[in-house]
Amino acid sequence: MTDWNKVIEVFGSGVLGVLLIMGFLMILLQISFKVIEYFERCIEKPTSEKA
Amino acid sequence: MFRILEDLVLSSGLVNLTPGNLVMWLVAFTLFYLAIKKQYEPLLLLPIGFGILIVNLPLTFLMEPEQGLVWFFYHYGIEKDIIPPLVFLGLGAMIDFGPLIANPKTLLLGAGAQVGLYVTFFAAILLGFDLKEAASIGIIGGADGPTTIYLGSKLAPHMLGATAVSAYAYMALVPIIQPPIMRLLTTEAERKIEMGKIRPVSRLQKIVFPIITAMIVMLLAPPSAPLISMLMMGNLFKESGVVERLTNASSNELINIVTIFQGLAVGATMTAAVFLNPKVLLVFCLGLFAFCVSTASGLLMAKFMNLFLKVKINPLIGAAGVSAVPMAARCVHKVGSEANRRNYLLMHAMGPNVAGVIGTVVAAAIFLKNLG
Amino acid sequence: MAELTSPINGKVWKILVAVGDKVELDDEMVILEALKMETPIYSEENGTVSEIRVKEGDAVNEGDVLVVVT
Repeated sequence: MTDWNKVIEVFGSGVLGVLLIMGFLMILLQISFKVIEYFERCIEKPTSEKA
Repeated sequence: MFRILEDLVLSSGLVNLTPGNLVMWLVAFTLFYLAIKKQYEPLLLLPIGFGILIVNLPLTFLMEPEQGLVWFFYHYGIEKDIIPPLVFLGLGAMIDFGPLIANPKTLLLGAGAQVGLYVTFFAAILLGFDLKEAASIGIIGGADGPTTIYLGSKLAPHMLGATAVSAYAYMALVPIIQPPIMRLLTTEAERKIEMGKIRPVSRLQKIVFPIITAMIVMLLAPPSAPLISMLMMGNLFKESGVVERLTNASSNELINIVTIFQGLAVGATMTAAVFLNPKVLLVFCLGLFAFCVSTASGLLMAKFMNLFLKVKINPLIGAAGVSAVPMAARCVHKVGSEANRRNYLLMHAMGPNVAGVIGTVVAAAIFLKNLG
Repeated sequence: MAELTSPINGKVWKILVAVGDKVELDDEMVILEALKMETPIYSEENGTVSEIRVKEGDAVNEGDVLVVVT
């Protein structure tokens, strides 16, 4: 009755999926924050408006 | 003369009352009591309670398809998925993602707590729910009302009332549910860990955050788009600092307006015929279970991360991955300062707390992709 | 001389000491309020309060000096 293969699939893809997506987001955010910090340190002028 | 009176009685709702309606009145009165006297999430429970009360007055046809007033609110607001994303727009304009930006590692804690959702999903299936019902029960553990309603209306609309009410009720009970689990799973020494200062965050970082997050999350998990796009647009409004009027409109008027219709419409799904069903009790039990397991999985994730980190984090902040903002963060702070009075975890706990909001949306998106 | 700094962002809810008070380690000095929660800040050493840099209702940032103890 219950499709156990589907259950395992949803469970597995869910646990892994959330961790992977959040992990990937973390890495990309960390890289972009490093880049921003690098630029902000380079452009030490008072008018560093970009956005 | 007698005929007129008889007509009046027969056409009134009174003769059509069922015992079930009376029970639902009691449910509504209980919610009024919790909202007004105990102040448990009154902004949500009061309209929900009133929704329950009015749909359990017979012959009003408020939820009659294509005619009832509340049915239109429900149909266009919830069924067509308009209201939960609008609530998220307002939340985005309110939430300060600063602590998360300062320490992006907390995103993993926000993800860790979502493991609890899937454990609950599994448990619900063992108890005899079908896959879609189990998913909409599991998501309760995310402690996120709009996401619970969003997923529930798509996968198991007949249980929407129960899942939404249990999400909101347990969110209010976080200060009671979480501390015992936190003490059980951490040692005194771990609770004493101090986390120092939070890295300062520049304005540009705060502006870039919603843009990158929206892009990545939507590219990787497209079904998350309605919720995450609105959340991040609201946050971009806030952090850009140039559209204060839009920020204020989103975070005050708009969110207040849609909260009214969301609560009323969710409450109105709870007619006696739908709600008085032994499964509903199970939903409430599993909802509590979901909160507990999510708290535990967040804590364990933090302990797991400590195995690799040079500068240890206090594992308590993992519990804040349950995204009840800011109740879970407050709770972490309290338990942390009980172990070490110089431990100020509040801001550190806000990181996983807001990451949990994103994590819950991602978890919901994966459920939708697999089951929708 | 030591400066007691605020560990969090928030508002000053109550100041429990006055200039000239003798304080001991772990005495409650100030109560801050953040996210609708009261957070007591404790003294970090024995001494006398020589200066109070904030007043009740002030918004403070992390790292701001609250009280100076000598």
